[in-house]
Amino acid sequence: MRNTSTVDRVAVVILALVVLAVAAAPWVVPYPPDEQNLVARLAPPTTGHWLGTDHLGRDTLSRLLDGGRFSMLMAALATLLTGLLGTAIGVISARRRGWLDEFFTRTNDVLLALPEMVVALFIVAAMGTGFAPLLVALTVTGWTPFARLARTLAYDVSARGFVEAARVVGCPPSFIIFRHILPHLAAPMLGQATLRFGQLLISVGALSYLGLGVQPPQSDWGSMLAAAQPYADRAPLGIIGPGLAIFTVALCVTLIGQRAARMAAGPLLLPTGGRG
Amino acid sequence: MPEQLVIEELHVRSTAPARIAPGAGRPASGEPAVYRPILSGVGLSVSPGEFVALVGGSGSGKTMTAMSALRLLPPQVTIDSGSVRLGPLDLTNASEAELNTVRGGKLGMLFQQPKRMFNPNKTIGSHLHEPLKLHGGLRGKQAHAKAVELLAEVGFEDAHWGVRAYPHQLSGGMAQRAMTALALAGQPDMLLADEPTSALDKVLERQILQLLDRERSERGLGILYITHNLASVAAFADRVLVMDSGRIVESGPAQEVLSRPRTAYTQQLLDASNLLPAPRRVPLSEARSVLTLNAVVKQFASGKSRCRPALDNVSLDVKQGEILGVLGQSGSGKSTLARSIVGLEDVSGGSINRKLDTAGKHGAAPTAVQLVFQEPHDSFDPRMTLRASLEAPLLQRKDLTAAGRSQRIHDAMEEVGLDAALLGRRPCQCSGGQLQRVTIARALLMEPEVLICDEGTSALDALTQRTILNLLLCLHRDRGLSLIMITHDMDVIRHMCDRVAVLFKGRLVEVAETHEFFSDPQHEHSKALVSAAIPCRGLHLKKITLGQSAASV
Repeated sequence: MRNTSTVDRVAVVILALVVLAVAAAPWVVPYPPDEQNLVARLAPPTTGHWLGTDHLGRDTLSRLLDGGRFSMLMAALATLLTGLLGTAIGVISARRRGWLDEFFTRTNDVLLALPEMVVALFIVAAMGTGFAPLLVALTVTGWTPFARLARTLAYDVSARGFVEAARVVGCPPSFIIFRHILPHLAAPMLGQATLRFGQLLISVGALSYLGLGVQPPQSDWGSMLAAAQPYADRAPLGIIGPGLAIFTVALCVTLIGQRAARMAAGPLLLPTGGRG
Repeated sequence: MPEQLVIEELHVRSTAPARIAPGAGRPASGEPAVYRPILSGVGLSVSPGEFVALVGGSGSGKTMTAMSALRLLPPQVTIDSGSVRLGPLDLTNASEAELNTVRGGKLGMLFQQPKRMFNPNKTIGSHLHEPLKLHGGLRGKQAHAKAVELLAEVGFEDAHWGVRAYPHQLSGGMAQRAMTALALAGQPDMLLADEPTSALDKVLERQILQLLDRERSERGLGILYITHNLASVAAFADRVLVMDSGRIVESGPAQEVLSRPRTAYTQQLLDASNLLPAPRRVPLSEARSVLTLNAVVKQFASGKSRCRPALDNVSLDVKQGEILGVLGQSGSGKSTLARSIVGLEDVSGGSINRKLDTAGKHGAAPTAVQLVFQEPHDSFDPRMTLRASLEAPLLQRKDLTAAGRSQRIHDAMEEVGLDAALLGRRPCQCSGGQLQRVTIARALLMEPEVLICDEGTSALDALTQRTILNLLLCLHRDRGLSLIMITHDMDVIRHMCDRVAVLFKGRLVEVAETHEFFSDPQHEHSKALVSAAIPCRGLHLKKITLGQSAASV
């Protein structure tokens, strides 16, 4: 068995460093991220350019830090929006039941049958590129797993004795939703959110890679990958850098999220099992 | 060759912090002992053909004794010293492979909640095939034939249907029969029965015990019967062992222990299970009614017309200050009735009239009828402290300040005899009896006219059950509270109730004064219920019940 607490601590430290570096990018980058230097194109790592330069002579490290702002912010916002939307839809489905539940569940099924990326592409194509359309595209395609999980759990909690007990003593539905159902949903939703953050980070990258996400001169990790791909043989760091960044951040968030979800579930709160 | 089960000087301890152990509220486990002893020097033996009862309150270590014999202890519990021997084989240091030939083979186990022990995806037949293959070497048609035979033996009317049935298609009693068949499939010499009948009503309880008793006399099966119900012990057991906090405090022939208990603990247990009939109270004809049910019908799954209604034309009238008992087998609609009355289920027809004394009430929530649930641990949100759970309904009342709410909660806690310090705890840190008291406190906060106890005491051991019943009687006396006791326990009915209503397949088949009901039940089903009740110290009944079992099977 791996030593989970050490791994989790390392993940926290790495993620903190990445977030710090990315957040402080405007002040710490060694070069302006879009400053071109055509003399030093596709340079290998040097003391001046730690990760070398791209095909226009822009410093890879600076672009990595600057691009991370967009990627991580977008993924975080999309996770938050999809999480809230999905949880709301799931809980409403479970509480109202009837045709509303049917409607949301079928919509969910339809979205599940279509590849996420195709729907996202369609929305971006219809709305144009930019920050807001990208966010809409990711939210519309991304709420389904949250809604599914929230609906099942809310159904489950609603059938528990304490919810019925609360109804008998006259607690209104709002109290049951906010004090009983949502707290029970928190830990699993958090776990789901961290998994989705990683996937969304990759989705943002993929859309940008396809040229539908961020538009030049702004960059993100996906568009950097796209730009560096033709020169992979001469300057491999241009691909390894952003690729590794996406991978590391997604992994760290997932690890931390799982740990947080376990802690939120807590051994004290589990039922004590059989008697006797 | 049948073999004897011998447990000698068994010491078992928990390595988990006592803090999260169930029942941590009890003083014995209150201090944070890291190595909490669970069993200290338990010794017992069960010979072939012997019916030995192991009795004690909850948390006394009865189940742990059985689990140690099978080496199925939870990971944080370890056997310190002592030995468990089945014939020549020492189970305490047997290998896993050896244990697997013993478990379900020579040593069968019957668990408390039969429905949970079946895999819902598999038929009863395929459950039975497993031990038949492992321990009997039977396959295919032979195994199938044997499975049918076993089910017929345990009293399935249609054994061929039973083999094909899925667990959800069986009623509680049928599931326990199937479980018994499963335990017997491995041809065990010794059967550990851990409260096999606690969740069942009296009729089924007697049937299951008769079945075990027959296996004992016919095949020489040794039975270790774990229970907190002394009534059934008196009727069936040869020897009794009394357990308290991990020790055997008393043992001897059943007759002797039950008639001349040597320790105070045994006496306490006996007193608790000896519920005397209630003294006659004044007739209640002139009291006003607080709850009226008029031809109530509840139909589930409206699509299927062949489905019989859960409640069929039930009319009932509850007077103020009355204790009404509602009797019925599992599945007779008792719980549906309770849920309909408090408004958790909408009724399909008829009307329920909760007569509110609205002048005295603040706010208008329909809380004049309150419900105490069967499972105390499930009726509180595990995330909330008890204070938060109790405060929740009061938050709806705009006329109360924070201090006022706190005062009411403390008053209610005092009324049910609990320390207010308990309010800061979470449900898993309290025992079942404490939580059931808190449930009652929560109900009292709503100033109810009627309190319904839906099997409110069935999940508790006899001692705790007794204290809860006394509490309810006190509240009834002091507050003039009307009680509806929904139960399958005839002793509780006889002890508490003024009137009895019998539900059978969703119909109200009889309503009578308690003493009339017990002396002269009218309906066929009532007669069956009354005759099935195993009275405490009913030693003389053993012959009678044996005779009946021979006649009925």
